[in-house]
Amino acid sequence: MAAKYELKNLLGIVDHNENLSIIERDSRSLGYALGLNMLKILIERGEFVWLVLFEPLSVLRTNLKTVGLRLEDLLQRGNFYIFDIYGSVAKIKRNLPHIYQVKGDITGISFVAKYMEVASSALSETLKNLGVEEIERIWTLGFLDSSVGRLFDNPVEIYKRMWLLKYSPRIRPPIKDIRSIIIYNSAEFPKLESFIYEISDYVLESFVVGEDELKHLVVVSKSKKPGLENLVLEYLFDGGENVD
Amino acid sequence: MLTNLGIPQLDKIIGDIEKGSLIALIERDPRSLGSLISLLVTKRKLEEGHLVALLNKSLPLPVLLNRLESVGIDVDRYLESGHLAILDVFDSYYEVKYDIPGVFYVKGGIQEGAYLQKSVKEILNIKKEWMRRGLIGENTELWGINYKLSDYLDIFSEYGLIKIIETTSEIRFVHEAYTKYPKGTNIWIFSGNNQTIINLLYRRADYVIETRSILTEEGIKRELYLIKMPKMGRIKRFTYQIKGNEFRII
Repeated sequence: MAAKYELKNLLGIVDHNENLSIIERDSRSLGYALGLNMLKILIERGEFVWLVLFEPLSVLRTNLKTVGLRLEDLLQRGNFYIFDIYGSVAKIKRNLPHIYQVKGDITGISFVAKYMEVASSALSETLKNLGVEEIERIWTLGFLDSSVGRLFDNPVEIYKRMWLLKYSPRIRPPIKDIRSIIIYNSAEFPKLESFIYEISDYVLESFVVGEDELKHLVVVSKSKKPGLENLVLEYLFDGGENVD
Repeated sequence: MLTNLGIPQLDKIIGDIEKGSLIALIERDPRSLGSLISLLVTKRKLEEGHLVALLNKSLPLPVLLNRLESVGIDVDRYLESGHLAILDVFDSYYEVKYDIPGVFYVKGGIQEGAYLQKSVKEILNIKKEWMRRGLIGENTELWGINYKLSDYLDIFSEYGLIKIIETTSEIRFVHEAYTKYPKGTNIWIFSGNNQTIINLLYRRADYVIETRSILTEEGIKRELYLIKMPKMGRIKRFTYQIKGNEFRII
């Protein structure tokens, strides 16, 4: 029996520096939309969000619309930034504010070093613009982390090393609390799943059940906090916000 | 001389383990959280005052340290005291070095052919350090956690990994690290379904444990299989949960 739960409560389980993954086990389950709904809640709360984009910007724009968000408006808010991995690799210039890219030769592992550099200086610049020495908390959101598999020759290693931005004391920006949401489609890049489970404090798997009447379900398949493990929730997309 | 995994519900079904055994823990799918079990064993053994050498093939070191902390291991304390030693193969491959006590590196880079000899040399250095600090007592257990063997496949060819597995079991009979110093009890974690590699592990291991999971409308069903043990018998299957950091048979 699926339980009643609010999406904002699900988001609330993520604590200081913790990571939550949404694994889209079945494409029909639209797990990424669940992640974008979480983004919407974060933006409305005024949280600082750093989106790591592994998909074309147009794909993000289309899907933001489905949760009632407009890309151009988001980028004007001052609390939403994009690190454009896809555009960096495809060498597509953007004429929008608050989108960062890595320039030059970014093949192989040299990409990671440049990514760290650009991300760190982008965050420092943000602190300067805001006139503060530190930001209490930021959220990172990958859209979609599994798409990294299409961008590099050695995507597993590159993706793993990208996490040094969060965990290496040498590189880490002056932000005490970085909470991360990972969105991952298991069929698209199965080799990464082991790491996704490893890095996550919480994993939500989205899937679909039923034959005549299909239901979107999500199960908490890993939880650092006891009590949430194996919780099954049904979610509805109409209205966007409530998991019911 | 006997030991156990230190996880009461697992010890109940597996029983005592002869020290120096090789345990293959095969996580058939990541959702089964099989590799997490090896981190829980690491935690327990350190808490009991034993020595653990963790061979890191999987993660950049800062990420690994965070993951060990996430299961409640006081990493700084154990690295400082020497009870936890990490052979950081992952970063050795990229020639990245962190200046952290208790962390060892394979010197001179990692090449498929020369890797094993170089890494055994570092195992010897870890044991020498344990001996120098007087950490190896009469009842001290030595554990080797090979985390995770499957990630070798990101840096070596399948053939290269086969050679490593074949030679590792031979080298334990002759190398100073194992003849002059006590042999540890080893857990080799393999995530995935590469049957060629899994076959090799089956033949070499004293114990084979497999974990699998099934997604159902009622939630995740996790199953643990005890497939090979020194006293052979029928394959035993158990359903389990990991709640927080606690392993429970249900």
